[in-house]
Amino acid sequence: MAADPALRTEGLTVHYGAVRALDAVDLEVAPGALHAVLGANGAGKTTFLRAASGLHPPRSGRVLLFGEDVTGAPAEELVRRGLLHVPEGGGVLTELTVEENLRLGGLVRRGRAARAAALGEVYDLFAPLRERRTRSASSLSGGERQMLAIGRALMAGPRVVLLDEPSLGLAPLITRRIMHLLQDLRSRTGLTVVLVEQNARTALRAADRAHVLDQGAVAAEGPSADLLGDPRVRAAYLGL
Amino acid sequence: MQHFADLTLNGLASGAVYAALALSLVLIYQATRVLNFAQPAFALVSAYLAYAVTAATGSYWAGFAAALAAGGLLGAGTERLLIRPLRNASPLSPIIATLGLLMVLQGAVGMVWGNEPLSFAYPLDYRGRFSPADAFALASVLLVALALFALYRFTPAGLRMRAAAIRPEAARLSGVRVGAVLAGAWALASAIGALAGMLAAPPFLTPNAFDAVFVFAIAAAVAGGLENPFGAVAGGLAVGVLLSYVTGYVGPELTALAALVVLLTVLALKPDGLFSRAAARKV
Repeated sequence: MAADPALRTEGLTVHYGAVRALDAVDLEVAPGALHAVLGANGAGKTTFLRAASGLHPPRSGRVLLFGEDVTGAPAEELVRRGLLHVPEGGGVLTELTVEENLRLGGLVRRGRAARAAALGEVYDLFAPLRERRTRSASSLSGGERQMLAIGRALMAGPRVVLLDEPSLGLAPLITRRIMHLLQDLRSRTGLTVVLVEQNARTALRAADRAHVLDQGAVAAEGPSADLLGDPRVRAAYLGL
Repeated sequence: MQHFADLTLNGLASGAVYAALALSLVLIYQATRVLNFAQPAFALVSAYLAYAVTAATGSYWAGFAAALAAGGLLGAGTERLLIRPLRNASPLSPIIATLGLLMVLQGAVGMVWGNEPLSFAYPLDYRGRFSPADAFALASVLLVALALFALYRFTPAGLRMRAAAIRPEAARLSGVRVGAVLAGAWALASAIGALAGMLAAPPFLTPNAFDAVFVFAIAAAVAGGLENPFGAVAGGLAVGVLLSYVTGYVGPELTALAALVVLLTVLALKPDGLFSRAAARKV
């Protein structure tokens, strides 16, 4: 292997009190990949993202970002190293305007010019946000809110983006647009995307590879096409 | 008419003090959802330190600067050492902690400087109706309010403060160092509280000098809405003017009672404050 994986976890284990929510998860995502993490409700998908992004310190195991051990680093520091976590529902601040949300995302960048350029790029990518820049973020539709959440993450200049259920509550058409956008971003900028989804069909169509979690442990992994073609996996874990 | 004008001007000058202390309460409540009962004690310690620095250097303004710095340090230190460890405790815990801190600091001030009144200087000439000292009080508080508005509205630091206060976890995911930002909000608020102390202290400073001022400031903060800095300033000025009328037309013995009536009336009729918007924030 020439390059270090963009994101790698080794034996990542997380406890909530006495409950083991994540059990020794090994996962590797190549730079520029679109990687899905699938599983039923409560399988540990969100826990995995929270542990990887520094929101919830793991009990044991390691997190490596481009080969660098970042285990235990808090989320706000990982943002500065290019790891952005978009939580379920987007984590949009509805009390702020659209543009304030985006500006907030860009504050980790140095220099006024770099921030302004990033803002322009995000507006080019999401035209509806430019139209509503001075409006309160609470006035956005679900799809626009998801755009704002992704746009805010892009403002920081990420190398790896973790997305938690971006399709939740969105119409299939909007979901498809968001998936296309992620693929497009990946191929244009080399961004690495880790996508957590309950909606396995949508995610596997967009992703190159996937991990399937079951009760906190890895139940299956491989290229998306293989997982989609494996009747055992389809029936047991993907509900297809 | 002359009497009315005098009472109004005096009311605005003392209202500026209530506004500053109310502002410090509201800024801290906004940032961390804690009503900081130790705020008058921060102002007290700051004023006594100013007294000591002025006595040592002979300069009023050296003491003034020392007071603001001491207020800021007390605020940041309290957030870091007392409030942050209680982040996941019941909402009552930080209230009890700040009440305890109030008593400790008030007692400590009495031990260090004694309970006898100390003669405390005015910043400027205090003679005449609406004296330069009165004008200084009103102008400095209005200036602070304007500067705060600009800070919150137009600067990256203000954006970080708002984000950290509204949704700490989402702010962290955008790279905001929430702990440092909240300590900064406490520091800023407590420096403003120290300003209130410097304005309220003359002519005499005692360990209980700010007790009444604090009651009026709480009335102002509640009247303006605990989450609204501009409500706090408006509430402070309104309470100051109202109490001045009560003192002038009815009698000074009813001043404190009038403040409590304001508090009760607002809480009964519009518990979120006179300037609250209809929509409640989801927590």
